Amino acid sequence: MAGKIQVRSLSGFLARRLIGKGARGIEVYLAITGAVLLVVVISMTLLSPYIAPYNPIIEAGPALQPPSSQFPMGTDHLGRDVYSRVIYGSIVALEVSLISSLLSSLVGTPFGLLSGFLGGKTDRLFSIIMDSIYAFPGLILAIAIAAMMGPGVINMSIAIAVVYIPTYFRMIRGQVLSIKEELYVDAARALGARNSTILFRYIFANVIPSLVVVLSLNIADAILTEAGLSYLGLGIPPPTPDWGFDLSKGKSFLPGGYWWMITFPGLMIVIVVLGFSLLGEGLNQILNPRLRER
Amino acid sequence: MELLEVKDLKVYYYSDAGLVKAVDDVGFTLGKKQTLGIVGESGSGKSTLGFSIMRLVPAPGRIVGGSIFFDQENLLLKSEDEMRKIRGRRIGMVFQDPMTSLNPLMRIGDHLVETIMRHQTATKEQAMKRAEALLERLGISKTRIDDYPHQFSGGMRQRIMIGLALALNPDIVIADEPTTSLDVIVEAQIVELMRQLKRDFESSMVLITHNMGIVAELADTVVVMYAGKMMEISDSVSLYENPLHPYTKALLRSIPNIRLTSQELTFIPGLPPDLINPPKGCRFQPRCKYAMPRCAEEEPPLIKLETTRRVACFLHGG
Repeated sequence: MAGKIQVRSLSGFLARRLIGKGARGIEVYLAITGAVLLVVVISMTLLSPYIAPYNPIIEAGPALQPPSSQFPMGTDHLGRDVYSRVIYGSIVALEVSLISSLLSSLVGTPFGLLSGFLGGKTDRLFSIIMDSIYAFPGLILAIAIAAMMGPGVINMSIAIAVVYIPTYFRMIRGQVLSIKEELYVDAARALGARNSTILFRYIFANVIPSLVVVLSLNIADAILTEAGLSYLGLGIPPPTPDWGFDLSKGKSFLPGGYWWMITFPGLMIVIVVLGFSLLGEGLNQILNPRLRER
Repeated sequence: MELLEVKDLKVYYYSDAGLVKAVDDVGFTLGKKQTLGIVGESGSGKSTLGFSIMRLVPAPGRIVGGSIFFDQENLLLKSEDEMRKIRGRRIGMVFQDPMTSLNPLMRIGDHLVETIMRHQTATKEQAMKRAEALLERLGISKTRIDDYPHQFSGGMRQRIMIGLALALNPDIVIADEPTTSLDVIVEAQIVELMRQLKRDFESSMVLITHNMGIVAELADTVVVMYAGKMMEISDSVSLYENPLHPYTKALLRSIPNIRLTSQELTFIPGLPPDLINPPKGCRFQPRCKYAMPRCAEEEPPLIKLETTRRVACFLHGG
């Protein structure tokens, strides 16, 4: 058979979609741009000890120096190198956003699966619980939980995770409700498949593409929430480098004309969020043919 | 006792718009190695009947009465667990739309191996061997065992579905409009394949279709359904040579036939009835050209004519 492509994994599936005729639109470029941004940011995070010129928590030179060849992004009010702090700051941002997204997907996904699959009273109960979480304004809820639990990477991740559980729950539940009606689910049942087999092999497997998309978009959201919490002083205690915290410090020095303290951490947040959003949106359009047709 | 005995089966849908009697007092028997055709228009309840035998009637449908005896046991009294062991293993099913009846994320081999291993203690290698042999039987090269459903044509996917239904050598295969979404040439191939496999696997078949031609080719006995009711049941030869019920006659006249050039192709005027408010008396009476005043008053019972024939029409007594 001509053009036979073996698809053995998600990457193969993606490759097929990327190579396939219908997918050469803007969405591919969106996804690729996002992916490139993220590769840069993630390698920066992993290599931070090697590429940061100074120790981010120790005075490196005079305070409040504008960007120069010695300090590419200037120094802050304690004489620390902003460039090094920006590089190290990505560690907390990525840690918290990845852990929190993972946590909320780990909770939201099984509940969504069960709720959609079982239906009836279980579904109603889970939906009410999730809707009541959803009814809170996200940032306020995260602030309340973070304030209750105290600072720290794990605590902050949990606070953010709680906010996003309903996002996963709703998406997964909706997907299950539609996939459950597919003929191949009936066919599996008619061949004697167990409920567990149907749920995992037939329904969950077909939800994964959507889950990947939501995960990517959710990480972008989580980074913003993390920055918000740190900005309010509910994040990692100083002097650990953190974009949100540096933003709030930089804000108080902005009226004095020291623009570099707030600009560069802010720019990094924009870049990382943009990276995850572009990747998520691109993947969404590639993986979801119905959306692509519009 | 026959292999399958359906008696007075009633399947109702409790929909928001009202009670739909999709299958109402239907009964038939199916012997070993026999094929029973169930024909009727869309919405006549024939698919619901097929799903009832599997105990897979979709909500809000419920089996509310009657009995389904399979191998001397009433399937309606079985637990869900016991039914699962019967599905696939003892009763297989083929669906109408092969394009969507395979999991797009599972390889063909996985579909087959999983089905084989679900019901039988076989090692993965043994199951794989059987899957390969089965594919060859279906006329598909075993080199394609690692391909995904989207890499196959509709006809090939339907072959695979038939293979899945037959993988465990079931006693009965229920084929729900197995060729409806295929083109004529592929349809002929599938019919031929079903005929061969049914003979080789020595299984019985319930063939649900609106295609009178396929029924003529494959079925030994034919049940004609209209609006949830049985209109006529007969051995297929007598049914084609001498249809008794006006609805059967009309159905047979509405299929093209090369040999009968003199006869005009006709259609049945009107539409199938609204099953929430079925017409009084005989359900076909509003569309029947032989209708008598009595037909709108009383519902004709199934009248036994010869040993193999029963018909629900006052033209033939009652």
